[in-house]
Amino acid sequence: MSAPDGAADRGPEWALLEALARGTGPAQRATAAARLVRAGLDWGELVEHALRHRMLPMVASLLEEQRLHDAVPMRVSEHLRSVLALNRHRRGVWYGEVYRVVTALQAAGIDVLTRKGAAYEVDLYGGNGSRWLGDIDLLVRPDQRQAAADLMPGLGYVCGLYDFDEGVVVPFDRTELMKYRLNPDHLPTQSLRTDDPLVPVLEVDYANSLTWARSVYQVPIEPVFDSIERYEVPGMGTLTRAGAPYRFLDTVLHLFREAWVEWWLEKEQDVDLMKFGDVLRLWQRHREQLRQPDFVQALERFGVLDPVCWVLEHLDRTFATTTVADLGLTGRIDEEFLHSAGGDAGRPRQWTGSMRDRLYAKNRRAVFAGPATP
Amino acid sequence: MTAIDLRDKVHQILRSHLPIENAKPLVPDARLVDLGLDSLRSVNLVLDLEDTFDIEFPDSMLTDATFGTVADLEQAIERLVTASTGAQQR
Repeated sequence: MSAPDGAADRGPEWALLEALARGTGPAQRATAAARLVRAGLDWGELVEHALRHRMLPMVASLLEEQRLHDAVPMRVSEHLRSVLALNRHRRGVWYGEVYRVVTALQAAGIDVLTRKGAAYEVDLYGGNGSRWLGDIDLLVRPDQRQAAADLMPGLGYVCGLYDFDEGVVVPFDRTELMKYRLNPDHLPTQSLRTDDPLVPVLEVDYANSLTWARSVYQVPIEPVFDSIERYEVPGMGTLTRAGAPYRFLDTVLHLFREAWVEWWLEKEQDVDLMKFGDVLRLWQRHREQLRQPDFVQALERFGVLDPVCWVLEHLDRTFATTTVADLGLTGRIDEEFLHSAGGDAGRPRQWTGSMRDRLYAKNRRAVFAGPATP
Repeated sequence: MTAIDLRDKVHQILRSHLPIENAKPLVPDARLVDLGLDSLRSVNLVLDLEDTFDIEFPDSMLTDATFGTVADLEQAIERLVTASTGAQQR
């Protein structure tokens, strides 16, 4: 598990996180991770970066798996053990709710596919609590989105966001609901207050598009649902997700959306290492299937080659992979597009530096320096 | 309010929600998205139009069709104002 070129320049803490994001086997983790940890780390720096990239449970899992806690300051070690225990507990509650919602939707005749973490946490992260699980992300057909929304109150959900100070779900006001009406790619967030003090709320995020409203990049939803496959979450039950090529495409386009549309920067949801780790692991797992000509042909037919290349080119440059060349897409996009972003009111923006610079930056605004192009 | 007054008022409000540097003319078939009206600006525009004309956009009108072109928006406001005036007279 050697650090990719350039990762070590930012210190061993960053090199460790990039290596974890890459996803390697236990044997490689044993040698390289132990070397990095035992050589001494700035734990404050590591924890800060890991928090920003939602990778603290992954760090904790590594320390446990490789029995490295003796090399960690005691208070940090205690905290990381708690983080991992909490994430494992959360995972159990979370999957139970995924299963309950999906089962209710299917019973009502609504087709549903899990997305993001729910669709690949078991396959790609071993289901061991190392990957952070946020919202419950589901995909429904556009013509069934209202039926899905109508079902949620019966399951105890409120259309709104949880107020952690007050301990209640605050329904969205009309202004907020209008934003969703005018952006019909997602339903408003549905929140469930639980009786579990460690997991007080679970949120369901319904998408009915792989991109966003009014985007020039649109993927027809029918082939995504046609590719449906069933998978088992051990101890939980059977769920449904898109087939591997669409699962990969969905993950790539999701990364593109959050990395390319500048608005996500304001929401503190700019791209992170974990998202690149998801793409990389999916690629590693399904490489042979993705390299079949029909995958690139589909991307071409849907008109999404550019955003896919944007993500994969940055992936290759950061993690020293060869996905773009493997798909026969070398030279498809130029440097200007690679450093582009969609700013306020659709105005094009540019950002500077490499994707590694951007991921490493604690102040992401700095890489977007300069005024928007009118 | 005459149809021309209403159109001028809609243009004045619409202009105030477009990017400041956008000086393109508000011709009827100009697409609002090309004028820089993104979804966040659309929400603020709706609230402003509702306040000014004492109307309320029903959910069924919060669609791309309403915010397609300058003419689409003018016609939507005209319909809502007419319906609102009629309801008040009844």
